[in-house]
Amino acid sequence: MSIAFRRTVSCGLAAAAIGCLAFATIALADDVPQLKFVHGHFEPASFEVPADKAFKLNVTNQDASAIEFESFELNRERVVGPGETITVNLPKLDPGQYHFFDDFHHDVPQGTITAK
Amino acid sequence: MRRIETIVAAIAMICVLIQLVPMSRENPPITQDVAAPPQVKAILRHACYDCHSNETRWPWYAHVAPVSWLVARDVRRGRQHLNFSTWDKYADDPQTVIRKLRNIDEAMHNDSMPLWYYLTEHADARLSDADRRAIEDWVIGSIKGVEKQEGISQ
Repeated sequence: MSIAFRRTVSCGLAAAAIGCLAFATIALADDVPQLKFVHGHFEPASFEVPADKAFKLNVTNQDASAIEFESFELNRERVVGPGETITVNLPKLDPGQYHFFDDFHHDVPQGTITAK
Repeated sequence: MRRIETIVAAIAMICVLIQLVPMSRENPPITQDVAAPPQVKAILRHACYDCHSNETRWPWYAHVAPVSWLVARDVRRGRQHLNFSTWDKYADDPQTVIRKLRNIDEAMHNDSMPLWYYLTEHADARLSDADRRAIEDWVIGSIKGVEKQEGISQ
Protein backbone atom coordinates (compact mmCIF):
# COMPACT_ATOMS: atom_id res chain seq x y z
CA MET A 1 0.00 0.00 0.00
CA SER A 2 1.55 3.31 -1.02
CA ILE A 3 2.21 6.08 1.47
CA ALA A 4 -0.12 8.40 -0.43
CA PHE A 5 -2.93 5.85 -0.25
CA ARG A 6 -2.42 5.32 3.48
CA ARG A 7 -2.34 9.05 4.03
CA THR A 8 -5.58 9.45 2.09
CA VAL A 9 -7.26 6.69 4.08
CA SER A 10 -6.05 8.20 7.37
CA CYS A 11 -7.34 11.63 6.44
CA GLY A 12 -10.65 10.14 5.39
CA LEU A 13 -11.03 8.26 8.65
CA ALA A 14 -10.11 11.36 10.65
CA ALA A 15 -12.66 13.43 8.74
CA ALA A 16 -15.31 10.79 9.32
CA ALA A 17 -14.52 10.73 13.05
CA ILE A 18 -14.73 14.51 13.29
CA GLY A 19 -17.98 14.46 11.37
CA CYS A 20 -19.46 11.86 13.73
CA LEU A 21 -18.31 13.82 16.75
CA ALA A 22 -19.84 17.02 15.38
CA PHE A 23 -23.08 15.26 14.60
CA ALA A 24 -23.22 13.74 18.08
CA THR A 25 -22.51 17.12 19.66
CA ILE A 26 -25.28 18.77 17.69
CA ALA A 27 -27.66 15.93 18.46
CA LEU A 28 -26.87 16.08 22.17
CA ALA A 29 -27.16 19.88 22.21
CA ASP A 30 -30.61 19.54 20.68
CA ASP A 31 -31.54 17.38 23.68
CA VAL A 32 -30.82 20.18 26.14
CA PRO A 33 -34.12 21.91 26.88
CA GLN A 34 -33.98 25.61 26.10
CA LEU A 35 -35.93 27.97 28.34
CA LYS A 36 -36.17 31.64 27.48
CA PHE A 37 -37.32 34.56 29.56
CA VAL A 38 -38.74 37.15 27.20
CA HIS A 39 -41.20 40.00 27.60
CA GLY A 40 -41.73 39.18 31.25
CA HIS A 41 -42.55 35.51 30.97
CA PHE A 42 -40.97 32.11 30.45
CA GLU A 43 -41.09 30.43 27.07
CA PRO A 44 -42.11 27.68 27.00
CA ALA A 45 -44.20 27.94 30.13
CA SER A 46 -44.16 24.17 30.41
CA PHE A 47 -42.17 21.37 28.88
CA GLU A 48 -41.44 17.71 29.36
CA VAL A 49 -38.26 15.84 30.15
CA PRO A 50 -37.60 12.13 30.48
CA ALA A 51 -37.94 10.91 34.05
CA ASP A 52 -35.08 9.12 35.78
CA LYS A 53 -32.43 10.78 33.63
CA ALA A 54 -30.18 13.63 34.72
CA PHE A 55 -30.22 16.55 32.33
CA LYS A 56 -29.12 20.11 31.78
CA LEU A 57 -31.38 23.10 31.18
CA ASN A 58 -30.33 26.24 29.32
CA VAL A 59 -32.00 29.40 30.57
CA THR A 60 -31.68 32.54 28.47
CA ASN A 61 -32.77 35.92 29.72
CA GLN A 62 -33.78 38.09 26.79
CA ASP A 63 -35.17 40.86 28.96
CA ALA A 64 -33.42 44.03 30.09
CA SER A 65 -33.27 43.21 33.79
CA ALA A 66 -31.89 40.27 35.74
CA ILE A 67 -34.14 37.40 36.74
CA GLU A 68 -33.71 34.64 39.27
CA PHE A 69 -34.59 31.19 38.00
CA GLU A 70 -35.71 29.35 41.12
CA SER A 71 -37.50 26.12 41.95
CA PHE A 72 -38.15 24.80 45.46
CA GLU A 73 -39.01 21.36 44.11
CA LEU A 74 -35.85 21.16 42.03
CA ASN A 75 -33.63 22.84 44.66
CA ARG A 76 -32.23 25.31 42.17
CA GLU A 77 -31.63 29.05 42.43
CA ARG A 78 -29.73 30.93 39.73
CA VAL A 79 -29.48 34.55 38.76
CA VAL A 80 -29.57 35.19 35.02
CA GLY A 81 -28.37 38.59 33.91
CA PRO A 82 -29.91 40.44 30.96
CA GLY A 83 -28.82 38.82 27.73
CA GLU A 84 -27.19 35.95 29.60
CA THR A 85 -27.59 32.20 29.09
CA ILE A 86 -26.88 29.84 31.95
CA THR A 87 -26.86 26.06 32.15
CA VAL A 88 -28.56 24.47 35.12
CA ASN A 89 -27.63 20.91 36.07
CA LEU A 90 -30.60 18.85 37.15
CA PRO A 91 -30.65 15.35 38.62
CA LYS A 92 -32.83 12.40 37.71
CA LEU A 93 -36.41 13.34 38.43
CA ASP A 94 -39.17 11.06 39.59
CA PRO A 95 -42.23 11.26 37.32
CA GLY A 96 -44.26 14.30 38.21
CA GLN A 97 -44.48 18.05 37.90
CA TYR A 98 -41.88 20.52 39.09
CA HIS A 99 -42.53 24.24 39.18
CA PHE A 100 -40.12 27.08 38.62
CA PHE A 101 -40.48 30.84 38.89
CA ASP A 102 -38.65 34.16 38.71
CA ASP A 103 -37.91 35.15 42.31
CA PHE A 104 -37.07 38.71 41.24
CA HIS A 105 -40.50 39.26 39.71
CA HIS A 106 -43.26 37.53 41.60
CA ASP A 107 -45.91 38.65 39.13
CA VAL A 108 -44.35 36.45 36.44
CA PRO A 109 -46.40 33.26 35.94
CA GLN A 110 -44.55 30.20 37.13
CA GLY A 111 -43.54 27.46 34.73
CA THR A 112 -43.74 23.69 34.93
CA ILE A 113 -41.37 20.89 34.06
CA THR A 114 -43.12 17.54 33.66
CA ALA A 115 -40.94 14.47 34.06
CA LYS A 116 -42.42 11.44 32.27
CA MET B 1 -73.75 42.11 79.26
CA ARG B 2 -75.35 39.21 77.42
CA ARG B 3 -73.92 40.51 74.18
CA ILE B 4 -70.41 40.57 75.64
CA GLU B 5 -70.88 37.06 76.96
CA THR B 6 -71.95 35.93 73.52
CA ILE B 7 -68.93 37.50 71.88
CA VAL B 8 -66.56 35.98 74.42
CA ALA B 9 -68.15 32.58 73.96
CA ALA B 10 -67.86 32.88 70.20
CA ILE B 11 -64.19 33.80 70.44
CA ALA B 12 -63.56 30.89 72.80
CA MET B 13 -65.34 28.53 70.41
CA ILE B 14 -63.25 29.79 67.49
CA CYS B 15 -60.06 29.36 69.52
CA VAL B 16 -61.02 25.76 70.20
CA LEU B 17 -62.07 25.00 66.63
CA ILE B 18 -58.92 26.40 65.03
CA GLN B 19 -56.88 23.91 67.05
CA LEU B 20 -58.46 21.25 64.86
CA VAL B 21 -56.87 22.62 61.68
CA PRO B 22 -54.23 20.05 60.74
CA MET B 23 -50.69 21.42 60.73
CA SER B 24 -47.56 19.61 59.66
CA ARG B 25 -44.76 19.67 62.23
CA GLU B 26 -42.59 16.94 60.81
CA ASN B 27 -38.82 16.82 60.58
CA PRO B 28 -37.97 15.03 57.32
CA PRO B 29 -34.81 12.94 57.09
CA ILE B 30 -31.41 14.62 56.93
CA THR B 31 -29.86 13.63 53.63
CA GLN B 32 -26.67 15.65 54.01
CA ASP B 33 -25.85 18.19 56.68
CA VAL B 34 -23.92 21.21 55.45
CA ALA B 35 -20.17 21.04 56.09
CA ALA B 36 -18.90 23.83 58.33
CA PRO B 37 -16.32 24.32 61.09
CA PRO B 38 -17.62 23.43 64.58
CA GLN B 39 -17.82 27.07 65.66
CA VAL B 40 -19.86 28.05 62.61
CA LYS B 41 -22.01 24.95 62.87
CA ALA B 42 -22.85 25.82 66.49
CA ILE B 43 -23.92 29.32 65.44
CA LEU B 44 -26.01 27.99 62.57
CA ARG B 45 -27.71 25.47 64.85
CA HIS B 46 -28.66 28.10 67.42
CA ALA B 47 -29.70 30.84 65.04
CA CYS B 48 -30.78 29.21 61.79
CA TYR B 49 -31.58 25.52 62.07
CA ASP B 50 -35.08 25.86 63.45
CA CYS B 51 -36.31 27.27 60.14
CA HIS B 52 -33.54 26.24 57.75
CA SER B 53 -33.03 22.57 58.53
CA ASN B 54 -34.86 19.31 59.17
CA GLU B 55 -33.86 19.50 62.84
CA THR B 56 -36.53 21.99 63.86
CA ARG B 57 -37.20 22.31 67.56
CA TRP B 58 -40.95 22.67 67.85
CA PRO B 59 -41.74 24.65 71.05
CA TRP B 60 -45.05 24.36 72.91
CA TYR B 61 -46.60 27.33 71.13
CA ALA B 62 -45.98 25.60 67.80
CA HIS B 63 -48.89 23.38 68.81
CA VAL B 64 -51.30 26.24 69.59
CA ALA B 65 -53.20 27.88 66.76
CA PRO B 66 -52.99 30.50 65.35
CA VAL B 67 -49.33 30.94 66.39
CA SER B 68 -48.68 27.41 65.16
CA TRP B 69 -49.72 28.50 61.66
CA LEU B 70 -47.08 31.23 61.65
CA VAL B 71 -44.40 28.88 62.95
CA ALA B 72 -45.26 26.17 60.41
CA ARG B 73 -45.32 28.72 57.60
CA ASP B 74 -41.93 30.13 58.56
CA VAL B 75 -40.38 26.67 58.80
CA ARG B 76 -41.87 25.64 55.46
CA ARG B 77 -40.64 28.79 53.74
CA GLY B 78 -37.28 28.64 55.46
CA ARG B 79 -36.68 25.09 54.28
CA GLN B 80 -37.85 25.94 50.76
CA HIS B 81 -35.35 28.78 50.41
CA LEU B 82 -32.44 27.17 52.23
CA ASN B 83 -32.11 23.81 53.95
CA PHE B 84 -28.85 22.94 55.71
CA SER B 85 -30.03 19.32 56.10
CA THR B 86 -30.35 18.56 52.40
CA TRP B 87 -27.20 20.20 51.12
CA ASP B 88 -26.65 17.32 48.69
CA LYS B 89 -29.70 18.43 46.73
CA TYR B 90 -27.88 21.60 45.67
CA ALA B 91 -24.56 19.89 44.99
CA ASP B 92 -25.35 18.79 41.43
CA ASP B 93 -25.43 22.46 40.44
CA PRO B 94 -22.43 24.23 41.98
CA GLN B 95 -23.68 27.65 40.97
CA THR B 96 -26.80 27.01 43.06
CA VAL B 97 -24.55 26.21 46.02
CA ILE B 98 -22.74 29.49 45.46
CA ARG B 99 -26.04 31.37 45.22
CA LYS B 100 -27.27 29.87 48.50
CA LEU B 101 -24.01 30.81 50.19
CA ARG B 102 -24.19 34.37 48.83
CA ASN B 103 -27.74 34.64 50.17
CA ILE B 104 -26.44 33.73 53.63
CA ASP B 105 -23.74 36.36 53.31
CA GLU B 106 -26.29 38.96 52.25
CA ALA B 107 -28.52 38.10 55.21
CA MET B 108 -25.57 38.61 57.54
CA HIS B 109 -24.65 41.94 55.94
CA ASN B 110 -28.14 43.42 56.01
CA ASP B 111 -29.07 41.88 59.36
CA SER B 112 -32.25 40.39 57.92
CA MET B 113 -31.77 37.07 59.71
CA PRO B 114 -32.73 35.73 62.19
CA LEU B 115 -36.23 37.19 61.94
CA TRP B 116 -36.90 39.75 64.69
CA TYR B 117 -39.94 37.94 66.06
CA TYR B 118 -37.97 34.68 66.26
CA LEU B 119 -35.49 36.47 68.50
CA THR B 120 -38.21 37.50 70.96
CA GLU B 121 -38.51 33.85 71.98
CA HIS B 122 -34.98 32.71 71.18
CA ALA B 123 -32.60 35.25 72.66
CA ASP B 124 -29.70 32.82 72.26
CA ALA B 125 -30.19 33.03 68.49
CA ARG B 126 -29.17 36.67 68.43
CA LEU B 127 -25.96 36.98 66.41
CA SER B 128 -23.05 39.01 67.67
CA ASP B 129 -20.74 40.84 65.29
CA ALA B 130 -18.21 38.06 65.82
CA ASP B 131 -20.85 35.44 64.92
CA ARG B 132 -21.69 37.26 61.70
CA ARG B 133 -18.02 37.60 60.79
CA ALA B 134 -17.48 33.89 61.42
CA ILE B 135 -20.37 33.01 59.13
CA GLU B 136 -19.23 35.46 56.47
CA ASP B 137 -15.69 34.05 56.57
CA TRP B 138 -17.07 30.53 56.24
CA VAL B 139 -19.25 31.58 53.31
CA ILE B 140 -16.37 33.23 51.49
CA GLY B 141 -14.14 30.23 52.06
CA SER B 142 -16.85 27.83 50.92
CA ILE B 143 -17.53 29.79 47.75
CA LYS B 144 -13.83 29.79 46.91
CA GLY B 145 -13.75 26.07 47.54
CA VAL B 146 -16.63 25.41 45.16
CA GLU B 147 -15.17 27.69 42.51
CA LYS B 148 -11.79 25.99 42.75
CA GLN B 149 -13.33 22.53 42.63
CA GLU B 150 -15.39 23.39 39.57
CA GLY B 151 -12.79 25.52 37.86
CA ILE B 152 -15.13 28.49 37.96
CA SER B 153 -13.67 31.96 37.62
CA GLN B 154 -15.79 34.84 38.93
